[in-house]
This record gives sequence, structure tokens and C-alpha cells, in this order.
Amino acid sequence: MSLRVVLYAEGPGEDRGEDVWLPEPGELLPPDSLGAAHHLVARVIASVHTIPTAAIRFVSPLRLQGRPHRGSDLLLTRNLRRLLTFASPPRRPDLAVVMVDEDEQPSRRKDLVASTQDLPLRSVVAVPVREFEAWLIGDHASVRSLLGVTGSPPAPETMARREAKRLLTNWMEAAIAADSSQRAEPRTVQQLRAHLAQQCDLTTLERLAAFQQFREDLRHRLREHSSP
Amino acid sequence: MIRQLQIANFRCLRSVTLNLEPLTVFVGANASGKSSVFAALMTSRFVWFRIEDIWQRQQGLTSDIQATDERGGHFRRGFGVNGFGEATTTFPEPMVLQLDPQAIRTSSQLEPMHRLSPNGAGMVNVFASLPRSTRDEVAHHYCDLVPMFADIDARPAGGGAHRMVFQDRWRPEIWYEPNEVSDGSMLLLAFLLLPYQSPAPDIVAIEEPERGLHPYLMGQLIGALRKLANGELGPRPVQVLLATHSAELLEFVEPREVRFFHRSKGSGETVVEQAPVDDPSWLKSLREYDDSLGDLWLSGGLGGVPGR
Repeated sequence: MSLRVVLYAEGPGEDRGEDVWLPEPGELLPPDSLGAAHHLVARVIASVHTIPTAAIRFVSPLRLQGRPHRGSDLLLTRNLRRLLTFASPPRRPDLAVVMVDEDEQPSRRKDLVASTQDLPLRSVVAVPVREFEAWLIGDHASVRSLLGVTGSPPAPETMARREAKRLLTNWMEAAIAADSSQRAEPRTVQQLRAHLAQQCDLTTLERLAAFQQFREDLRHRLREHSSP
Repeated sequence: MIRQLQIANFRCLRSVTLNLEPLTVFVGANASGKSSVFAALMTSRFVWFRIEDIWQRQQGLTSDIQATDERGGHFRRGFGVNGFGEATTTFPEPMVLQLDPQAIRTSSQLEPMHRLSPNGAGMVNVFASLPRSTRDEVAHHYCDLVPMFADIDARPAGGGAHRMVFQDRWRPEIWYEPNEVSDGSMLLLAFLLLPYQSPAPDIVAIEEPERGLHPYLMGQLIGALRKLANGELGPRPVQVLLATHSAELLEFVEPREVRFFHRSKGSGETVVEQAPVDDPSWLKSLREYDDSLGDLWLSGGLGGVPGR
């Protein structure tokens, strides 16, 4: 048994890596096309469902008039609905995950769910507060071990908009700078983000309300998927 | 009219069954096999075959091309590199056009010519060979679509040759030479001559008819080709096959008329799909795209798009 999932996230650092030349929409994404959000979503799915992480297959997303989607497309009802409409049944995934930053718009998740819930493709909307990076730095132990960060940052969901992004960027830059004196091949930003997504402790992230909501929504949707 | 075409072991077409309409549009990535279907139709004119024409260049294989027409007639061409095997005596006669604007522009020695050549060379002879009233009809239709011109004509170019000329709408004394006229305008004239060919082919297959054409003209072109396919233009219906990369062109055809080509990731063979118009969710999908088949195709959700 496998689960085919399409993920739409806002930035190339989250969902596509640096390679924007992807397989045809609906085809499986190769491992090097997976970004931090793919890794985290796969782990969350595996944590709420019996399916193992290895059986979760991400497929290439749809395009809009031939171009890859932009973050702003996910906030436009018309474009988001199009991105969730796979016209050919064999290409249709089992589940879509839409991940957009909250950006101090408290009703964002509710609005996006309302605008897409009648579509045939089952979808879950994840809205990290304020942004996805808050989830990547939510488990400080993994941040410490992967990036060598000392001290304790404020609670991720209390940070101002872009603060988590800024902190993570600074920490990754420092880690890469340290790598260049300690490693033959310094890690890249994409690698560091992916490692954080793969190693963070999900139980710790459960303390974040938005993450908890995402996990609950996934659990609910996947229960529907399992039922006949 | 061919209703169904089955092609086996020909170039990248290992095993393809195509249901065809009076007007059928092929879309797909570059090198997805659209042109190979056209080439397969042309095998009725092949004198010999090359190993390059056989699936994966496998010596022992035999290519097989079968067609069924709307009356149940069956046509077949089977061949290997050593020559023909089984073949029916007749096969619907195709005309495959890869029109080259430069070839169309070239002056030609004056001679009767009633059909376009594959690249359009000698088009001026086809035009000049038409009866006067038909030439006027073509000129009128052409100038309606390209209103910068008031008339077109074939004029001597010296040495027994002649070429097309195009009259300026605002300065009637000015006649433009072919090299002053755009590619799209030259190609459009060739398309307008299709219904007047004699004898008419059974099938006209056109590569990238959208080249150089303004999107506004696409509807006019498809309208004319549809009339050709239905027999409203010309002495009898001529089946039309188009290979295109144009999303705009798809706005003027029905979803059931489109075939989506891609190559199998596993074997490399061409796979042809149709829009799932009988699927209950199909209409909803199209509605999400504001009934735009072009946009829906560009989404990639129907196939027929390139990818890694």
C-alpha cells in the first residue's frame, strides 16, 4: 500500500529544493526534488497513520498556465482550486497538502479550507504560525545538534512575523561558515533545512498549536482515506 | 476517414492505438511521438525501410500499421528492414505538411501544380493553377484575415519563374514581395489553399499550424480546417490531423478531439491518452479551469507535457 501525496508550499526552499525542472505533474518526484516540507509532512503522516514513511510517494504538482505555482497562488481561491484539480484520474494523488504561512492572518486556515473543501481531491491545509521556519526551529534540541546553536530562542509561535525565518537563516549561515573550516564539503541551506525536518522531534512540535491542528487534520483526512 | 489507427514497432511507437476524429489534434512534449504517427501514415509511400524506423532498431522486429475506416474497411502495412510483408493494396492517402515559410516564398518555374508540396515550395504554382474565380475567392478570404493587404496575385519573376505578391491596402500601387511578408502570413495562405487541391488527399497532417499566427487567427484557421474535415470546403471531406504545442489552439477544439502524447518512463515507448470526457468528474475539472482546455492541458493534469 502506498499513499500518493501532492504538496503545495510557498517557497522553493520548502517544497521543491533548488531544482525547478520536475517530472510531469502526477508523476513521482525523485528524492532530490524533495524539500524540507516534504520530509516533515511525510513524517507527520506516518505518525498519524499506519503507513510507513517509505510508502508515502510525493507526486509532481500541477502548474498554472505552464508555470510552477508561486506562493501567492495558494492564497488566490481560483488558482488554488485549479492546483487541486487533477483532471486525469490516474494522475490524481490520494491527498493534497497545502502549506502556507499564517503571516498574522488568523483566519487564513479557515478561509483556505472553506474555499477548497468541496473539491474531489482530499486536502489538508497547514498554516504554521507565523511561518514554516517556526516548525523547523520548534525542537531546540535538534537545532542545537544540527546547527550548533547555543542559548534558547523564544517560543516559536510568539515570535513576530519573519523572526523565525531570520533566526534560522542566521543559524544556518553560521553553521555553514563553521563547516567550511571543519568539513571538506560544507552543508548547503537545502540540506540543513531537510535535516531539521527529518530529525526534529514531533512530540515537541505538538506544543505548537498550528502544528497540532495540522496533525489532527491529517489524522482526520487519512481516516477517511482508510475507510472504504 | 480513418477511425482507428494501430501502429506497432514503428520508431518510438511500440504499440499505439489511436481513435481519430474528422479533426484530431495531437499535443505532447517534444520527441513524444506525434510526428512519428505522421511518418507512419507516410509509410504507404515508402519504397524501402531503414532499421531506424523499427522500434529500438531491433533487427528481427516487423513494423505493423493498420487502419480502419468509418465503413469498416481495413488497411494494413507490415514491413521489416528487408522489405514489405503483408500489405493491402490501398491505404488512405496522407499529405503531411511541414511548411517552411522560406520555401513558400521562393519563386518557382511556371508549371501546373494542383497540390502543395510537403514544405510548401511551389505554392505560387498551386495558386496560379486555380481557376480565376477560385483565386479571387482565396484572395478575398486571405485579405479578410490579413486586412493589411487588399489583394494577392502571382506575378512573373523573370526567367520563366513567378512569385506571389501582396497589395498594400492603403497604397494600391505598392505590391509587396514575399520576402517582405511575415512567416505567419505566408503560412496562412498555404492553409487557405488546402481545400482547393486536386485530387484531394484523404488525410492532411500538419505540423505546428500555429507557427507565426496571431492567436486571434487560430479560431479562423481551425474553423477552416474543420470545414475541410466535414466536407463543407472542397469536393469531399479531408481528415485533418494537427500536431501542436499551442494552448491557444486547444481553445478552438473539443476535448474529445485531442490526443495527449507522452513517453513511458519505463520503456520509452509512446503512450497516447484521451481526455477522460466520460469520467463524471471531467466536467467539474474543466469548469475549474473556466472551460479552458488550453489552461487545463498546461496544468499538466491531462498529460502531454514535458517533464524530467
